[in-house]
Amino acid sequence: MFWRSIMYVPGNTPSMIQSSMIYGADAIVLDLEDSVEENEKDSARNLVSYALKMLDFSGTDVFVRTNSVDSKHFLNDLAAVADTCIYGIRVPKVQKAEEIIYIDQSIAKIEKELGLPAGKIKLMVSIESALGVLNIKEICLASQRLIGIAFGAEDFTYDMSIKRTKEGKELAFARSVLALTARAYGKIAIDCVFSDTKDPEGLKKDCETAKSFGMTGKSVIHPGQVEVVNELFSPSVQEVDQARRVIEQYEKLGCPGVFSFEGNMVDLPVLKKYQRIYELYGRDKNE
Amino acid sequence: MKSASCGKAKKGDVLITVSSIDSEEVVINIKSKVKELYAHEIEKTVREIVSQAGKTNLEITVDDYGALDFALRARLITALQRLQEKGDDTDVLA
Repeated sequence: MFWRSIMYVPGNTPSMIQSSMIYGADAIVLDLEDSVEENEKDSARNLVSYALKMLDFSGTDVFVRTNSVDSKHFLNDLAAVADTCIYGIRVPKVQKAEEIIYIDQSIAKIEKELGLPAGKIKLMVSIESALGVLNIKEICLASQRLIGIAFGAEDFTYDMSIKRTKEGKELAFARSVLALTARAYGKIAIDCVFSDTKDPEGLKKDCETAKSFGMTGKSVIHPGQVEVVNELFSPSVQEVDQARRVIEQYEKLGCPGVFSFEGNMVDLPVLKKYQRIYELYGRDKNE
Repeated sequence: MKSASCGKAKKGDVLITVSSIDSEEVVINIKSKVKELYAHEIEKTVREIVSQAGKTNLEITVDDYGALDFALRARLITALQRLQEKGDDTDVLA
Protein backbone atom coordinates (compact mmCIF):
# COMPACT_ATOMS: atom_id res chain seq x y z
CA MET A 1 0.00 0.00 0.00
CA PHE A 2 1.75 3.09 -1.23
CA TRP A 3 0.02 5.98 -2.90
CA ARG A 4 1.93 8.89 -4.36
CA SER A 5 -1.10 10.53 -5.99
CA ILE A 6 -4.67 10.29 -4.76
CA MET A 7 -7.05 11.97 -7.18
CA TYR A 8 -10.41 13.44 -6.20
CA VAL A 9 -13.25 12.71 -8.60
CA PRO A 10 -16.61 14.52 -8.25
CA GLY A 11 -19.18 11.91 -7.28
CA ASN A 12 -22.08 13.27 -9.28
CA THR A 13 -20.48 13.52 -12.71
CA PRO A 14 -20.71 10.24 -14.67
CA SER A 15 -18.24 11.28 -17.38
CA MET A 16 -15.51 11.99 -14.82
CA ILE A 17 -16.15 8.83 -12.84
CA GLN A 18 -16.05 6.53 -15.86
CA SER A 19 -12.68 7.88 -17.01
CA SER A 20 -11.12 8.36 -13.59
CA MET A 21 -9.08 5.17 -13.66
CA ILE A 22 -7.08 5.98 -16.82
CA TYR A 23 -4.92 8.87 -15.63
CA GLY A 24 -2.33 6.92 -13.65
CA ALA A 25 -3.29 8.04 -10.17
CA ASP A 26 -2.24 5.46 -7.58
CA ALA A 27 -5.64 5.87 -5.94
CA ILE A 28 -8.82 7.78 -6.59
CA VAL A 29 -11.34 9.26 -4.21
CA LEU A 30 -14.91 9.34 -5.46
CA ASP A 31 -16.26 12.36 -3.65
CA LEU A 32 -19.66 12.58 -2.00
CA GLU A 33 -18.77 15.61 0.09
CA ASP A 34 -17.68 19.07 -1.00
CA SER A 35 -18.07 18.62 -4.76
CA VAL A 36 -21.71 17.57 -4.38
CA GLU A 37 -24.51 20.04 -3.69
CA GLU A 38 -26.67 19.30 -0.69
CA ASN A 39 -29.76 18.56 -2.79
CA GLU A 40 -27.80 16.10 -4.95
CA LYS A 41 -26.35 13.93 -2.17
CA ASP A 42 -28.82 11.11 -2.87
CA SER A 43 -28.07 11.22 -6.57
CA ALA A 44 -24.29 11.13 -6.12
CA ARG A 45 -24.51 8.33 -3.59
CA ASN A 46 -26.44 6.12 -6.01
CA LEU A 47 -24.20 7.05 -8.92
CA VAL A 48 -21.00 6.19 -7.04
CA SER A 49 -22.53 2.97 -5.74
CA TYR A 50 -23.51 1.81 -9.23
CA ALA A 51 -20.17 2.89 -10.68
CA LEU A 52 -18.30 0.82 -8.10
CA LYS A 53 -20.45 -2.20 -8.88
CA MET A 54 -20.43 -1.93 -12.67
CA LEU A 55 -17.19 -0.26 -13.81
CA ASP A 56 -13.73 -1.82 -13.87
CA PHE A 57 -11.44 0.03 -11.47
CA SER A 58 -8.69 -2.60 -11.49
CA GLY A 59 -5.27 -0.99 -11.48
CA THR A 60 -6.16 1.76 -9.06
CA ASP A 61 -7.26 1.70 -5.44
CA VAL A 62 -10.60 3.35 -4.82
CA PHE A 63 -11.71 5.32 -1.81
CA VAL A 64 -15.02 7.07 -1.33
CA ARG A 65 -15.04 10.37 0.51
CA THR A 66 -18.16 10.26 2.63
CA ASN A 67 -19.74 13.25 4.22
CA SER A 68 -18.51 14.05 7.72
CA VAL A 69 -19.68 12.05 10.73
CA ASP A 70 -21.72 14.95 12.06
CA SER A 71 -23.74 15.15 8.83
CA LYS A 72 -27.00 13.29 8.27
CA HIS A 73 -25.42 11.59 5.26
CA PHE A 74 -22.52 9.66 6.76
CA LEU A 75 -24.23 6.35 7.51
CA ASN A 76 -26.14 6.36 4.22
CA ASP A 77 -22.89 7.04 2.34
CA LEU A 78 -21.18 4.17 4.10
CA ALA A 79 -24.06 1.77 3.49
CA ALA A 80 -24.15 2.61 -0.22
CA VAL A 81 -20.52 1.70 -0.88
CA ALA A 82 -19.59 -0.89 1.75
CA ASP A 83 -20.31 -3.93 -0.41
CA THR A 84 -18.31 -2.79 -3.43
CA CYS A 85 -14.72 -2.86 -4.65
CA ILE A 86 -13.59 0.04 -2.45
CA TYR A 87 -10.26 -0.13 -0.65
CA GLY A 88 -11.67 2.12 2.02
CA ILE A 89 -13.49 5.29 2.89
CA ARG A 90 -12.03 8.70 3.46
CA VAL A 91 -13.83 10.70 6.10
CA PRO A 92 -13.37 14.48 6.09
CA LYS A 93 -13.12 17.04 8.87
CA VAL A 94 -12.20 14.65 11.65
CA GLN A 95 -11.25 16.41 14.87
CA LYS A 96 -11.34 13.91 17.72
CA ALA A 97 -10.53 10.30 18.54
CA GLU A 98 -14.18 9.75 19.52
CA GLU A 99 -15.16 10.29 15.89
CA ILE A 100 -12.69 7.63 14.76
CA ILE A 101 -14.13 5.17 17.26
CA TYR A 102 -17.65 5.91 16.00
CA ILE A 103 -16.55 5.49 12.36
CA ASP A 104 -14.71 2.27 13.16
CA GLN A 105 -17.72 0.83 14.96
CA SER A 106 -20.05 1.87 12.14
CA ILE A 107 -17.86 0.14 9.57
CA ALA A 108 -17.48 -2.96 11.75
CA LYS A 109 -21.26 -3.18 12.11
CA ILE A 110 -21.88 -2.99 8.41
CA GLU A 111 -19.06 -5.45 7.64
CA LYS A 112 -20.75 -7.92 9.97
CA GLU A 113 -24.19 -7.34 8.46
CA LEU A 114 -22.84 -7.88 4.96
CA GLY A 115 -20.73 -10.89 5.89
CA LEU A 116 -17.51 -9.13 4.93
CA PRO A 117 -14.21 -9.99 6.62
CA ALA A 118 -13.63 -7.81 9.69
CA GLY A 119 -11.30 -4.97 8.82
CA LYS A 120 -11.80 -5.27 5.05
CA ILE A 121 -12.86 -1.65 4.65
CA LYS A 122 -9.91 0.59 5.45
CA LEU A 123 -10.11 4.09 6.79
CA MET A 124 -8.36 7.28 5.86
CA VAL A 125 -9.32 10.59 7.43
CA SER A 126 -8.70 14.23 6.66
CA ILE A 127 -7.54 16.71 9.24
CA GLU A 128 -8.87 20.13 8.36
CA SER A 129 -8.97 22.15 11.58
CA ALA A 130 -6.77 23.42 14.39
CA LEU A 131 -8.38 21.01 16.84
CA GLY A 132 -7.83 18.13 14.44
CA VAL A 133 -4.12 18.95 14.19
CA LEU A 134 -3.78 19.06 17.96
CA ASN A 135 -5.50 15.67 18.28
CA ILE A 136 -3.65 13.78 15.56
CA LYS A 137 -1.86 11.48 17.99
CA GLU A 138 -5.13 10.38 19.66
CA ILE A 139 -6.73 10.04 16.24
CA CYS A 140 -3.90 7.78 15.05
CA LEU A 141 -4.22 5.59 18.13
CA ALA A 142 -8.00 5.27 18.02
CA SER A 143 -8.34 2.51 15.40
CA GLN A 144 -6.29 -0.22 13.77
CA ARG A 145 -8.46 0.29 10.71
CA LEU A 146 -7.00 3.75 10.19
CA ILE A 147 -4.25 3.54 7.58
CA GLY A 148 -3.66 7.16 6.72
CA ILE A 149 -4.07 10.80 7.58
CA ALA A 150 -4.63 13.44 4.93
CA PHE A 151 -4.40 17.18 5.30
CA GLY A 152 -7.09 19.57 4.08
CA ALA A 153 -5.60 23.03 3.71
CA GLU A 154 -8.61 25.02 2.53
CA ASP A 155 -10.75 24.24 5.55
CA PHE A 156 -7.73 24.47 7.83
CA THR A 157 -6.89 28.01 6.74
CA TYR A 158 -10.56 28.94 7.05
CA ASP A 159 -10.63 27.54 10.57
CA MET A 160 -7.47 29.46 11.43
CA SER A 161 -8.70 32.66 9.77
CA ILE A 162 -5.51 32.87 7.75
CA LYS A 163 -4.87 33.34 4.07
CA ARG A 164 -3.60 30.41 2.06
CA THR A 165 -0.63 31.23 -0.13
CA LYS A 166 1.09 29.28 -2.89
CA GLU A 167 4.28 29.15 -0.85
CA GLY A 168 2.34 27.59 2.02
CA LYS A 169 4.44 28.90 4.90
CA GLU A 170 1.25 29.24 6.94
CA LEU A 171 0.75 25.48 6.64
CA ALA A 172 4.25 24.43 7.65
CA PHE A 173 3.57 23.58 11.28
CA ALA A 174 0.37 21.64 10.60
CA ARG A 175 1.86 19.68 7.71
CA SER A 176 4.97 18.90 9.70
CA VAL A 177 3.03 17.73 12.77
CA LEU A 178 0.70 15.66 10.62
CA ALA A 179 3.50 13.89 8.76
CA LEU A 180 5.57 13.43 11.91
CA THR A 181 2.71 11.96 13.91
CA ALA A 182 1.42 9.78 11.10
CA ARG A 183 4.89 8.33 10.57
CA ALA A 184 5.34 7.81 14.31
CA TYR A 185 2.26 5.61 14.41
CA GLY A 186 2.78 3.78 11.13
CA LYS A 187 0.21 5.67 9.07
CA ILE A 188 0.66 7.16 5.65
CA ALA A 189 0.62 10.96 5.41
CA ILE A 190 -1.15 12.53 2.43
CA ASP A 191 -0.57 16.18 1.66
CA CYS A 192 -3.23 18.74 0.73
CA VAL A 193 -4.21 19.59 -2.84
CA PHE A 194 -2.44 22.28 -4.79
CA SER A 195 -5.36 24.30 -6.08
CA ASP A 196 -3.84 26.01 -9.14
CA THR A 197 -4.22 23.37 -11.85
CA LYS A 198 -2.37 25.52 -14.38
CA ASP A 199 0.85 25.96 -12.42
CA PRO A 200 2.96 22.78 -12.73
CA GLU A 201 6.06 24.56 -11.44
CA GLY A 202 4.18 25.66 -8.33
CA LEU A 203 2.93 22.11 -7.92
CA LYS A 204 6.48 20.75 -8.15
CA LYS A 205 7.67 23.12 -5.44
CA ASP A 206 4.69 22.24 -3.29
CA CYS A 207 5.44 18.51 -3.69
CA GLU A 208 9.07 19.08 -2.73
CA THR A 209 7.98 20.98 0.37
CA ALA A 210 5.49 18.26 1.30
CA LYS A 211 8.09 15.56 0.78
CA SER A 212 10.57 17.43 2.97
CA PHE A 213 8.02 17.36 5.79
CA GLY A 214 7.71 13.59 5.43
CA MET A 215 4.44 13.37 3.51
CA THR A 216 4.17 10.09 1.61
CA GLY A 217 1.88 11.33 -1.16
CA LYS A 218 -0.44 14.09 -2.23
CA SER A 219 -4.09 14.59 -3.06
CA VAL A 220 -4.73 16.00 -6.53
CA ILE A 221 -7.79 17.64 -8.03
CA HIS A 222 -7.03 17.36 -11.73
CA PRO A 223 -5.73 14.54 -13.96
CA GLY A 224 -3.04 16.92 -15.23
CA GLN A 225 -1.45 16.96 -11.77
CA VAL A 226 -1.01 13.19 -11.50
CA GLU A 227 2.19 12.80 -13.49
CA VAL A 228 4.00 15.58 -11.64
CA VAL A 229 3.01 14.23 -8.24
CA ASN A 230 3.92 10.64 -9.13
CA GLU A 231 7.31 11.76 -10.37
CA LEU A 232 8.06 13.97 -7.39
CA PHE A 233 7.03 11.34 -4.86
CA SER A 234 9.06 8.60 -6.57
CA PRO A 235 12.79 8.15 -6.12
CA SER A 236 14.94 8.73 -9.20
CA VAL A 237 16.36 5.85 -11.23
CA GLN A 238 19.77 6.65 -9.73
CA GLU A 239 18.37 6.47 -6.19
CA VAL A 240 16.77 3.09 -6.87
CA ASP A 241 19.98 1.79 -8.42
CA GLN A 242 22.01 3.02 -5.46
CA ALA A 243 19.58 1.32 -3.08
CA ARG A 244 20.02 -1.95 -4.96
CA ARG A 245 23.80 -1.70 -4.85
CA VAL A 246 23.85 -0.84 -1.13
CA ILE A 247 21.67 -3.85 -0.33
CA GLU A 248 23.85 -6.14 -2.47
CA GLN A 249 26.95 -4.89 -0.66
CA TYR A 250 25.26 -5.38 2.72
CA GLU A 251 24.40 -9.00 1.88
CA LYS A 252 27.83 -9.66 0.36
CA LEU A 253 29.49 -8.52 3.60
CA GLY A 254 27.33 -10.87 5.69
CA CYS A 255 24.81 -8.30 6.92
CA PRO A 256 27.05 -6.26 9.23
CA GLY A 257 25.67 -3.64 11.66
CA VAL A 258 27.73 -0.92 10.02
CA PHE A 259 29.63 -0.85 6.76
CA SER A 260 31.11 1.55 4.27
CA PHE A 261 29.65 2.09 0.81
CA GLU A 262 31.47 4.31 -1.67
CA GLY A 263 33.05 6.24 1.19
CA ASN A 264 29.85 6.73 3.20
CA MET A 265 28.90 4.99 6.43
CA VAL A 266 25.76 2.86 6.22
CA ASP A 267 24.23 1.89 9.54
CA LEU A 268 20.82 0.42 10.27
CA PRO A 269 18.66 3.59 9.82
CA VAL A 270 20.41 4.41 6.53
CA LEU A 271 20.08 0.81 5.36
CA LYS A 272 16.36 0.84 6.15
CA LYS A 273 15.85 3.87 3.92
CA TYR A 274 17.52 2.08 1.03
CA GLN A 275 15.54 -1.09 1.72
CA ARG A 276 12.29 0.87 1.67
CA ILE A 277 13.15 2.47 -1.67
CA TYR A 278 14.11 -0.90 -3.13
CA GLU A 279 11.01 -2.64 -1.77
CA LEU A 280 8.72 0.02 -3.22
CA TYR A 281 10.35 0.61 -6.58
CA GLY A 282 13.26 -1.74 -7.24
CA ARG A 283 11.46 -5.06 -7.31
CA ASP A 284 8.82 -4.02 -9.85
CA LYS A 285 11.47 -2.71 -12.20
CA ASN A 286 13.48 -5.93 -12.02
CA GLU A 287 10.53 -8.27 -12.50
CA MET B 1 -49.76 14.25 -10.93
CA LYS B 2 -46.53 13.86 -8.96
CA SER B 3 -43.21 13.85 -10.69
CA ALA B 4 -39.51 13.78 -9.85
CA SER B 5 -36.32 13.90 -11.84
CA CYS B 6 -32.61 13.14 -11.59
CA GLY B 7 -29.55 13.68 -13.75
CA LYS B 8 -28.33 16.47 -15.96
CA ALA B 9 -28.51 17.42 -19.61
CA LYS B 10 -24.76 16.99 -19.97
CA LYS B 11 -22.50 14.72 -21.98
CA GLY B 12 -22.23 11.29 -20.41
CA ASP B 13 -25.27 11.85 -18.23
CA VAL B 14 -28.98 11.25 -18.55
CA LEU B 15 -31.90 13.32 -17.31
CA ILE B 16 -34.73 11.14 -16.13
CA THR B 17 -38.20 12.35 -15.20
CA VAL B 18 -40.72 10.01 -13.62
CA SER B 19 -44.37 10.93 -13.21
CA SER B 20 -47.20 9.02 -11.64
CA ILE B 21 -50.13 8.46 -14.01
CA ASP B 22 -53.62 7.00 -13.65
CA SER B 23 -53.11 4.27 -16.21
CA GLU B 24 -51.82 0.93 -14.86
CA GLU B 25 -48.90 0.77 -17.19
CA VAL B 26 -45.37 2.05 -17.61
CA VAL B 27 -44.99 4.52 -20.45
CA ILE B 28 -41.41 5.12 -21.53
CA ASN B 29 -40.28 8.02 -23.73
CA ILE B 30 -36.69 8.01 -24.92
CA LYS B 31 -34.81 10.96 -26.38
CA SER B 32 -31.27 10.24 -27.48
CA LYS B 33 -28.88 10.96 -30.33
CA VAL B 34 -28.15 7.27 -30.38
CA LYS B 35 -31.78 6.25 -30.05
CA GLU B 36 -31.70 4.00 -33.10
CA LEU B 37 -28.80 2.03 -31.68
CA TYR B 38 -29.59 1.94 -27.98
CA ALA B 39 -33.28 2.66 -27.42
CA HIS B 40 -34.02 -1.04 -27.00
CA GLU B 41 -31.28 -1.49 -24.38
CA ILE B 42 -32.32 1.65 -22.53
CA GLU B 43 -35.95 0.57 -22.43
CA LYS B 44 -34.97 -2.93 -21.29
CA THR B 45 -32.94 -1.50 -18.38
CA VAL B 46 -35.70 0.92 -17.40
CA ARG B 47 -38.33 -1.83 -17.39
CA GLU B 48 -36.04 -4.10 -15.37
CA ILE B 49 -35.55 -1.50 -12.65
CA VAL B 50 -39.20 -0.47 -12.56
CA SER B 51 -40.19 -4.13 -12.35
CA GLN B 52 -37.78 -4.71 -9.45
CA ALA B 53 -39.42 -1.78 -7.69
CA GLY B 54 -42.82 -3.40 -8.31
CA LYS B 55 -44.08 -0.22 -9.87
CA THR B 56 -46.68 0.59 -12.50
CA ASN B 57 -48.68 3.77 -13.14
CA LEU B 58 -45.62 5.60 -14.36
CA GLU B 59 -44.57 7.74 -17.26
CA ILE B 60 -40.78 7.82 -17.58
CA THR B 61 -38.91 10.21 -19.83
CA VAL B 62 -35.29 9.35 -20.54
CA ASP B 63 -33.33 12.26 -21.99
CA ASP B 64 -30.04 10.58 -22.79
CA TYR B 65 -26.73 12.33 -23.44
CA GLY B 66 -24.62 9.22 -23.93
CA ALA B 67 -24.86 7.81 -20.42
CA LEU B 68 -23.40 4.41 -19.65
CA ASP B 69 -25.52 1.75 -18.02
CA PHE B 70 -24.34 2.52 -14.47
CA ALA B 71 -25.45 6.13 -14.80
CA LEU B 72 -28.82 5.23 -16.32
CA ARG B 73 -29.57 2.83 -13.48
CA ALA B 74 -28.41 5.21 -10.75
CA ARG B 75 -30.34 8.17 -12.13
CA LEU B 76 -33.54 6.16 -12.53
CA ILE B 77 -33.32 4.69 -9.04
CA THR B 78 -32.79 8.16 -7.59
CA ALA B 79 -35.70 9.61 -9.55
CA LEU B 80 -37.96 6.80 -8.29
CA GLN B 81 -36.76 7.35 -4.71
CA ARG B 82 -37.47 11.06 -5.04
CA LEU B 83 -40.95 10.33 -6.35
CA GLN B 84 -41.50 8.04 -3.40
CA GLU B 85 -40.48 10.81 -1.01
CA LYS B 86 -43.17 12.96 -2.56
CA GLY B 87 -45.83 10.54 -1.42
CA ASP B 88 -45.65 7.57 -3.71
CA ASP B 89 -45.77 4.50 -1.45
CA THR B 90 -43.58 2.18 -3.51
CA ASP B 91 -40.49 0.86 -1.75
CA VAL B 92 -37.57 1.55 -4.08
CA LEU B 93 -34.43 -0.39 -3.32
CA ALA B 94 -31.09 0.99 -4.46
